[in-house]
Amino acid sequence: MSSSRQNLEKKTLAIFSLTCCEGCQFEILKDFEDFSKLQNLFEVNNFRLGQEDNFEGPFDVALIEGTPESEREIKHLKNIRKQSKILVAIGSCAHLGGIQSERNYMPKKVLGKDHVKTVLDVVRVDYIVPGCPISHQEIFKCLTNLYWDKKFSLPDVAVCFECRFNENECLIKQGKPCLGPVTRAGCNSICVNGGEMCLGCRGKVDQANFHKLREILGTMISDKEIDSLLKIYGNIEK
Amino acid sequence: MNQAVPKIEGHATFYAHLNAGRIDKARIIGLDGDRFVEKILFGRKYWEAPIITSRICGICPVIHNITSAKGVEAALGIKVSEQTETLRKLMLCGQMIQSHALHLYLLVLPDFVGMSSSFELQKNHPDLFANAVALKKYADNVIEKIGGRAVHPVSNVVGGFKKYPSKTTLKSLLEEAKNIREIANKSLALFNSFDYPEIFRDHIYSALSYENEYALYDGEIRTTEGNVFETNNYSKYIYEEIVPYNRARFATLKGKEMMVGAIARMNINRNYLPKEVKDILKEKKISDEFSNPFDNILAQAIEMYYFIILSEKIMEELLKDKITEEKVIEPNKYSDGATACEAPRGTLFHYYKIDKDGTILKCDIVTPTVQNLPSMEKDMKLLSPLLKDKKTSERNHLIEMLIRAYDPCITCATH
Repeated sequence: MSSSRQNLEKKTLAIFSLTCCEGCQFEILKDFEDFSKLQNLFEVNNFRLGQEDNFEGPFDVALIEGTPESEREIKHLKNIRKQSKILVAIGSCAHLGGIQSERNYMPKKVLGKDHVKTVLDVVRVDYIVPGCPISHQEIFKCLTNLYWDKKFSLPDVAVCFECRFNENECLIKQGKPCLGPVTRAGCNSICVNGGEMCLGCRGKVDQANFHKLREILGTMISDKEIDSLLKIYGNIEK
Repeated sequence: MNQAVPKIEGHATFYAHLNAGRIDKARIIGLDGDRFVEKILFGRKYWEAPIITSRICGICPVIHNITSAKGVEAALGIKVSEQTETLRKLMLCGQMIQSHALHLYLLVLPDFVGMSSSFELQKNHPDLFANAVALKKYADNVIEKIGGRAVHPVSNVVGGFKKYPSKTTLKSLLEEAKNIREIANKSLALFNSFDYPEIFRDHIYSALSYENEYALYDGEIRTTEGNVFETNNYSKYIYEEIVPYNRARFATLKGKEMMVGAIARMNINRNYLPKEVKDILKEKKISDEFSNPFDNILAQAIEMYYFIILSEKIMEELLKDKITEEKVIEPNKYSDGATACEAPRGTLFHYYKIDKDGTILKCDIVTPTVQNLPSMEKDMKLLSPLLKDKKTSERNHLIEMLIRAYDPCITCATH
């Protein structure tokens, strides 16, 4: 790294986790070299998964994954918001409720637990980096933008857009269900590339037409199955 | 009561009561919320199980994905092809190397080189940092090329694979493996060079065992207590319970604490390691039996080396024949079934009961950490003599080191 880069004033970064699988943190750590380069821009002041010395704040940027499940976690989340200039919700749990939000559609008696809240339900967030898990490239793009005081925006097109570029054979055209048409791009259609359908983990794209999608999927699977598909990572129709 | 222990997967804290120089009460308390993964599967279609259960854990999603697919297949009477099994074993090699590399280099190593985090390594030990990068990259590549994504893979489903790697891909992975072997050997030497705190107890070890293999994907359970049982009988031997003070669940071998994971696999299956690994163990004068829980660290370093060799062998086999694009196998009955695989942290059990319309009626998952927690609490007490004349922060650090050596995954233990 050149000396001029090292002289840049660093911003402070914190990475927090609530109840979830922590897969988004591992996606951030996917490439240790990238993470290490990131430390030329950011002083990582709180990252329990990776280091021992952690501070309570304040932070220029904080990333948070997971859903707040307990009083302790809700308090923790509110405090993080207070300590952070910019708060970024990362991953489907923080954004949509994640797989655990299925609980919201089950009788409360079965579990005796409250509804699953998203991070967005509890505090104001500045940005969202969606996905289950998030994409390594997208989170690093977001952090680089934020370092240079640039806004970060998500692609406003459907997964189908990227899927075409990858020359995948359209699943819907083959009579198989897929949520690509209503889901926000940015994942490079990774699931369809791997042979699976898109399951909507990145949430809905602005112009999503759920009415039309239901009509098309209705010729393949039952309404109950459609409902359940649209809720795997949290209700994306909402 | 302390803050959440740093550098472990998930959130947990511990409580140790010191009485006249002895720890008379020790507890490890999971802080992650329950997500009720087993319950949320109820009413969903069978094919969704591997997708949803892989989200139990971000450090070992591959093993949940594979064990879940295998469990559902047992319930649906599906027998997958040999090629599917081989590809899954290759993904498992990737999973083991990935998880062990993360645990050893990122979570454990700082304890033994006197740093707060591994990110400082780049400045002081750039060679070690480069090793960590290379190992992790290789493992991620294997999982990504076979499974479609490094965290939460997509291509492995109930009944087979939806996408197959090309021979060119396998060839380039094999090239990479050959380069990485030496790095794994150096890592083994590194983790063999540390002075681990010495505590001993007669642990019961439990792991999968299969003919004369270092079992990973199939087999029956064997313990050092002499128990041998079929994996679908696990609930008769492994008692899972909810402990009042804890969100994480605890499991015992009929009431006795046990230890699973790399250390248990080494103690039970070490004889079935290939000659190239055995030679290295001899050359490095590594003991024939592990009885100190800190040996789990060394056992993981040995396994990392072994799984690189195994992945090479699997790829060489795959390259001999044509890779066939098989169709995913459909169910031929709807009943219930259980299975187990070896996860990085120990034996993982998945059980499913499936209705005639293909919806899931019941699911039970017993994770490795759940089986390790009671033993971890007991071993904390053994640390007493080492805590003498130490400051509170040093005592806490030593206890945290023990917890890290066990490599717990609290998100798995609560799921």
